[in-house]
This record gives sequence, C-alpha cells and structure tokens, in this order.
Amino acid sequence: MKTTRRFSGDDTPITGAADVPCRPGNPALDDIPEDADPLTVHLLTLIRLNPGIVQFRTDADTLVRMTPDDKRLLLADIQKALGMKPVGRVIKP
Amino acid sequence: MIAPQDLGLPERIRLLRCPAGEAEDANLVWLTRELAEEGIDKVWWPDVAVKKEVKRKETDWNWKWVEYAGFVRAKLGQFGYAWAAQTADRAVQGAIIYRINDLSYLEEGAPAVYCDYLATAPRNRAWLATDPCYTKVGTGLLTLAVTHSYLLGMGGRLNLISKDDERTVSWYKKYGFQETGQEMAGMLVLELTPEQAARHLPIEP
Repeated sequence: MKTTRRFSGDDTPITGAADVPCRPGNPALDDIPEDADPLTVHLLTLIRLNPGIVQFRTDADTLVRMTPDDKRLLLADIQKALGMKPVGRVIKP
Repeated sequence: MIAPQDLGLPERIRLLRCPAGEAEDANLVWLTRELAEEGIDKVWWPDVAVKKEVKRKETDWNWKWVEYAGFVRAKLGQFGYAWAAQTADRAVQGAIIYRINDLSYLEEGAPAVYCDYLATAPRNRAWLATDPCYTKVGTGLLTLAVTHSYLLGMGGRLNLISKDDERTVSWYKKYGFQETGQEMAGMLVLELTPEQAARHLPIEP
C-alpha cells in the first residue's frame, strides 16, 4: 500500500475570505505620503511606530528625497538602535 | 516592482518536497495581477482533480487572486503587501496578502500586521492531492509577514481572521496564535504576540 509521509504543518490553514474589516488603520502612520516608495514607507513606519526610542527630527519630505542607499543605511542604523537582530535571507522550517 | 530584499526581508522560503522531505527553496516575489491570474487563478483549482463538493469545502475555492492583487494597491495603498512563493519551475506554491498598519486586539494601541489572505496551492494540500508536492509553504509565508512586523518594530505581532473550526484553530495555536475573544463575520480573530513570534523569526546566528 502506498503511504505518504506527512510533516507537521501539512495542514496549513487558509485564512481570509471574510470581508475586509472596516477598522481604521494605525493613526500613527497617517502622515506617510501616499505616493512614497516602499522603502520610504518602511523607514517612516519604523520611525513613527517607535517614537519613544527613535528621536528623529527630519520630516517625511526630506526622507523621501534621500537616495535608496542612504535610506537603507538609516534603516539599518535604526533597527540596530532598536535592538533588532539581522534576519537571514531564507526562512527555514 | 519591489523585491523582499529591498526591504531587508528574507528573499526565499525553504519548502520540503513530498514525500521524502528534501529541502527546496522558493523565491519570494511580488504578486502582480498577471502572476495572480496566470500562476494562481488559472491553474490552482483546475490542476487538482477533486470533486466539486470537496472543492467547495475549501475556504478559498472561489477566490479571485487577480482581484486581490489589484486590491493591495487600490485599497491598502502604501501599507499593503502581496507576495508569492515561486519555485524554480515558475509555479506559484502559495501567496499571502497583508497590511502593516493594523492595531493589536490584545494590547490597546500596539501596532500589528494584519494578514488578509494566505493560501497554499491546492496541489500542496495533503487532504486534497493524492501526491502533495510541497509542505511548509503556508508556514513560510506566514513567517514572512511575522518577520516584516518584527523589522518594523512591532515585535512580530500579527493578527488574522480564522475559520472557526478545530483543525484550523489548532494549527494557528500550535504556531503560537491566541484567541482575542473577538469575532468577525462569524470567524475568530487570532493574534500572535511578540513573545510567540520570537520563536519563528529567521534571526541570523
């Protein structure tokens, strides 16, 4: 008889299908420009969500104008200051 | 088009090929409308030979990923993310859509990521396919969203709505989610706290 080996996690459920909840978004992120690129959104979100730790006085417009490399450096500096550890390139089971 | 590594996120998830369990990585790519249509909507359900009544028991049997992929930018705006796990043969093994601007249900004011949609291809579901192709697709995609939450300073906090059945809820609880006591559209709202999220983060040694 053929058997199939099963692994823990085989039954990964499907989520979604409910109507999207009409919850207002996080008000701390209200001032992030709608047309900002993903890296800027990432950076600004990190700054806005950690106001007690990140003392950053540059406004959003200035951040938008920074080069991608500068944004990445700033991002890494802030994450380090927040005590975050670097994540790997692969998510392993 | 953004790539996960542009944001410092992992760029691949490690899957296990059935039945022996060899490791095989899938690339994480942005879920465009085109990829959603060609890689999911047109192939996921037609590819798996199951009776219609069995198929209809699956929550996502009639999902339109092409619409959801469009919905990310149209409705979630700059806070929405849609990723697909794509193996070397270009097949989409699973997909996830989440937003980064939600709030916790357990701790007032705490920021959280909210998972809108998560699914693994029907051909990978052991209860549908005679010979499932891969496992760990959904787990990997969920961990991607948890990692995104971590990198934004939310500690990995993530919430989602789960079908209220034993198999589904017990799977999420095994991952570390807890019930919030909230319901939405007859489904349970579950949340992963930073304490539980820490177990899953792909932190470099």
